[in-house]
Amino acid sequence: MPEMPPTTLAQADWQDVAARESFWVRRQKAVIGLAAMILLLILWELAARFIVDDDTILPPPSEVVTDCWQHFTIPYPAQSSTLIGHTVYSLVRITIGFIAGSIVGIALGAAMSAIRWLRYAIDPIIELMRPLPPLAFIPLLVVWFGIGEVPKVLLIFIGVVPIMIIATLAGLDGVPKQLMDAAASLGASKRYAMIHVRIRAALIPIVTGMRVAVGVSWTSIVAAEMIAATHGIGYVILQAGNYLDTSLVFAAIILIGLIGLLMDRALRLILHRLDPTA
Amino acid sequence: MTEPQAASAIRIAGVSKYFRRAKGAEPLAALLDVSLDIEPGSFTCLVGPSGCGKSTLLSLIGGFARPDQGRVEVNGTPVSEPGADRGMIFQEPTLFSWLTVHDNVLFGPRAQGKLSPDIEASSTELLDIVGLAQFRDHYPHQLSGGMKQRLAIARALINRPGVLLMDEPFGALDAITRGTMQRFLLDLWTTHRTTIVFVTHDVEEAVLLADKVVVMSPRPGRIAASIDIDLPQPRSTSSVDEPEQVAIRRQVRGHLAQVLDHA
Repeated sequence: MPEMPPTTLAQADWQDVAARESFWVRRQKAVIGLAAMILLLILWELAARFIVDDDTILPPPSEVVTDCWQHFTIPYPAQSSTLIGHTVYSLVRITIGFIAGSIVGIALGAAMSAIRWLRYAIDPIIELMRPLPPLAFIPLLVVWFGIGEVPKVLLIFIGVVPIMIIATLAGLDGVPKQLMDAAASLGASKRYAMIHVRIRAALIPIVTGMRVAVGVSWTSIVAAEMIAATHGIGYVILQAGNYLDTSLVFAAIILIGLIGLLMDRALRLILHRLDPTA
Repeated sequence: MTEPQAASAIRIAGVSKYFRRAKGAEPLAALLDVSLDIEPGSFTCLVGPSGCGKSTLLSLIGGFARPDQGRVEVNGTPVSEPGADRGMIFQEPTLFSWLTVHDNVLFGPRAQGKLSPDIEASSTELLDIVGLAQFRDHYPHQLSGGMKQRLAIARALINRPGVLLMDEPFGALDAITRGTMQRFLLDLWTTHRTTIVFVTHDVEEAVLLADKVVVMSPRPGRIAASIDIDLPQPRSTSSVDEPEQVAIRRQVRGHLAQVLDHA
């Protein structure tokens, strides 16, 4: 058998690589998704205008957008903040709770991964806490910390911590031993392999956990702001609902959705930089 | 060493390794009093049924485990931990998924703080040798199985290891890719003459590649036979059908059958 010339080998390799990159599939997904979204908005507009025909029950999307736009400058309620101001309130609460929760969760997860008895001690507590909706803690937090900023931030913190502990543990535990062996046999010290292989590999599930945690944060903040607040998007939803200002309720809901999407996109961008397979 | 002797690349002297399957259970001898000398620049294949300790032996040479009895020396130095002087290739390519092909190759030098323009140049050269020059900025997940394994080999070779340890490196590849990889490894070994220890359960592969086939027996893991293969080098994958290879395969299979009868 003649020796295979290297060019042939390379050509076969190129075909392999080409098959893995399906650019058109991704583009198709985006186009269909966008089309469905537009169709939904058109149906909503038509239904609101010609079938329901009552803005307190179902305002058309055009009305929602106008209302939203106006309240970027007009305070709601009159003596409170604009929609932008409310959004900033909610964002600050989420950011503080989310960052603090992430730091504590990652630190605890890393410690649990390294120290066995700590894992045995904390594991059952997490197992117990994980299925609890963070909202169940609201009355307790109000009793303990009043109705200021602390209980609202804490509520987010409580939701984020277990998620980040689990993600960190899964990340650090999920690094195959053989990958560490490979690093050692390539001349990496234990310290170098720990930082540049184990922790580096674990970053990917950790950031994935942060994406989940951001979603949970939004769920809890709205609930917290509905109970005892004078500012924030959750408060706007409650207030607007009470006064049958339905289009503003929709506006706040859509605002939450868009900001949540934006935060998720930002984390996904980080994830893409960390993980080329994502 | 007290007495003068031909320098071995790898010297395994009276090595035993036990595993305890459960608390209180009788320890299982994965390896029992195994001695083996491997010459520099030779290609040794360890074959045997599963449980014969061939992978354990390889991991002792690699420094991933320590023997309970006996000594393992590589180039006259006792093995105490994994090191860049012994390149290790696993069945799975174990690449760093977040590094490009080129950065995967440079992992070793970078970890040892030895990155230099010279090293970068030899990385480029190595990528050329393993046929991945055009893929230097690709990521591992974009490569096929054979390409991944060639990258793993290049990544080990950049450290210029005296010894290349391969644990069923082609076991997860399809038959056609495996043939290509065998030819690639033979070419590489013919030009570079690194000492290779290669674990496989494929007798045809062992006889094709090695100049010495070591047959191991299970429970306890021992060396049952050591067969020198005096076939002309360089070999090519087409030589598997030649009568000499067929005859040696029959001999190796005979030893394996005996080993299994005793087990």
